[in-house]
Amino acid sequence: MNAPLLPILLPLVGAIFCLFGWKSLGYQRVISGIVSIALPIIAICQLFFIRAEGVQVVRMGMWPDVFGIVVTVDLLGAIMICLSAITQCVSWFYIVAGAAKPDEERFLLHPLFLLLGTGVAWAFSTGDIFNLFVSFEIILIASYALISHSNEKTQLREAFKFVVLNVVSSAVFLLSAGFAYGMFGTLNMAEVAVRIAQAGPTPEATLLGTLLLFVFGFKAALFPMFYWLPHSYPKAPIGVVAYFSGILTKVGVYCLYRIFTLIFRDPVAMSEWFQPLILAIGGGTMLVGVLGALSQMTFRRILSFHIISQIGYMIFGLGVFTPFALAAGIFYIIHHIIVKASLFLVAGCVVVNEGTDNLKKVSGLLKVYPGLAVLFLLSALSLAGIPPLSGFYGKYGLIVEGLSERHYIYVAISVATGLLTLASMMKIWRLGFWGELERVDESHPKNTKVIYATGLLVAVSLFVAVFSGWLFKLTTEAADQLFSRDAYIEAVLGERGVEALRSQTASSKEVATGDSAWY
Amino acid sequence: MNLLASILVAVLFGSGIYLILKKNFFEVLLGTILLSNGVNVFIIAMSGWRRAQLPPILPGESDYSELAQIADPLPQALILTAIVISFGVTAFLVILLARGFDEHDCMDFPEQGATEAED
Repeated sequence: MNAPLLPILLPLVGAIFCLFGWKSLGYQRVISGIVSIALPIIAICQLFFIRAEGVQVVRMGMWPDVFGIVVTVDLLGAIMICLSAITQCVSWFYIVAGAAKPDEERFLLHPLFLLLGTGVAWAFSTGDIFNLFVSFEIILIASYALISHSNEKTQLREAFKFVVLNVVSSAVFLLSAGFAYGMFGTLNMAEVAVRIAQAGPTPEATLLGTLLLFVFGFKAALFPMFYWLPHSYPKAPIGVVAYFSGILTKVGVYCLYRIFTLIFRDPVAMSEWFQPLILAIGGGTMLVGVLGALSQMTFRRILSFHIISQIGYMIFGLGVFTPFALAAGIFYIIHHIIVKASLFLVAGCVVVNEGTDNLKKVSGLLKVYPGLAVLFLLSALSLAGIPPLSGFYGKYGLIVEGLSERHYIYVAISVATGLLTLASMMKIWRLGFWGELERVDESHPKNTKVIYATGLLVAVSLFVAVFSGWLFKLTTEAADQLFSRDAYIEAVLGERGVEALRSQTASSKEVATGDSAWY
Repeated sequence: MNLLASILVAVLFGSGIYLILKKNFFEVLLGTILLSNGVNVFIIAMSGWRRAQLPPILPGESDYSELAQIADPLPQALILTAIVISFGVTAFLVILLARGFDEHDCMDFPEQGATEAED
């Protein structure tokens, strides 16, 4: 079965075909539209298939699993691919509805966006550390080009900073891949996991875990490494900024979930070093992000800081490290991607229609765009975690599990962060939508079609709220799969891997010393 | 050999990081190039110098007795990929730099706070 390759190859082929007709906007729109609409259908089918049939593995060129490249999709990966496809599809409608200026759209926006989708789907489905690095580079190169897309002065400068910072984190990523190969003789994640389990608590494993925590924490904009995000994301073209905000940082979060459930879960190192570290980083991320958001006065800047704060919740779920906390964390990721992307689409609608999203310059938009105001309010209340909406369930699960695991400080931080989130959302509502009508330019061309495209994604977020019971069951299954890790390792390595894990728990130190001098 | 490689990696990393912390765009660009090369040397060093005496090609009638001495080809494949990627990123950075210089006359990072004021 080669089906797991489809979400990777389809956007890649689409991007190549787009490039053939790069002068014709209509042609690019059609090709990119076919791909963007087909992707969510394929991704949802794949999710149901994997739920029924278990983890899917494709071995490239039928190499033995230690040497060759494996593409491995488990439930978490399939959920993430689905979310990426849905966000990409809505963004296509949004771009075509007129969110991008025609010149901007004609100049490679569609192929770059499809390449971004390729890289993201690849990152969610690879089972190999070096391929993860390559997929990150595809994502990054596409996003470099998108961030510097319209060639303004501030955009170029932010793009330069973004590129340089990411080159540094990529260098560290490559360093840790080389280190993993040198220490463990393989880059296959499942095999590395087995070998680390066999070798017991070694300093090498802890060092590798810390390096990867830095790399993925940087991509996910965790607490000490978040400074690049609020400046660079608002510079991306309006049509794709929703995808940036929703998906790209979550690739880092996904990788953290993957490596800390699969590879670095040796009980000693985990409880003494990684768990306190991850919890502290999560708490700091929540608090600093939301405080940053309170200090900003631009719609998209406020939202960018909120991305940081909510990534803290996901990392908190990983730090608590029980199956229920992981399930709540994954549910929170689903909610966050949809709602955050729709808030950015609302902000984009304001920019498209009013020319700016600076809250000091516009106010009273409720009178002109009542529909947009409703969409904003639904998403904002959901983001703050008000009960019937989708944000509540994930937060509730995280707080309950945090209390029962006695992480009281972090629970207190997450409750406070929820309140401050509500406060800063209400700031946008009060300054932007309420009050006297005030606009920069009365004659700015109006485009109401983009609001309908935004409505599509808000409808998806209501769907998440209504079917939250079913989705929570799905995320619980995904979390169980992550937590027990047998299914993943058995799918990649076969019986051999599971037996190696079991014999390790029966403790055999000879095997470990014999195996570490492998290459 | 390992000591030599360690020193080389340390020098490349140290000078790369020093240059990245500079204010001028061009110096930062040179810093990223040094950093990428430092990582490549590190991977070669991790692949094990001691046994790498022969290229990873075995003649047709080989009895595989030399298998223990050939160099590990996988790190070289990794480095090849990494070199191509860093080449692409460097080319992109050069273009950004040239654009910034030609059209906006901008060669340095702004002072702290200047970005907020411009938006």
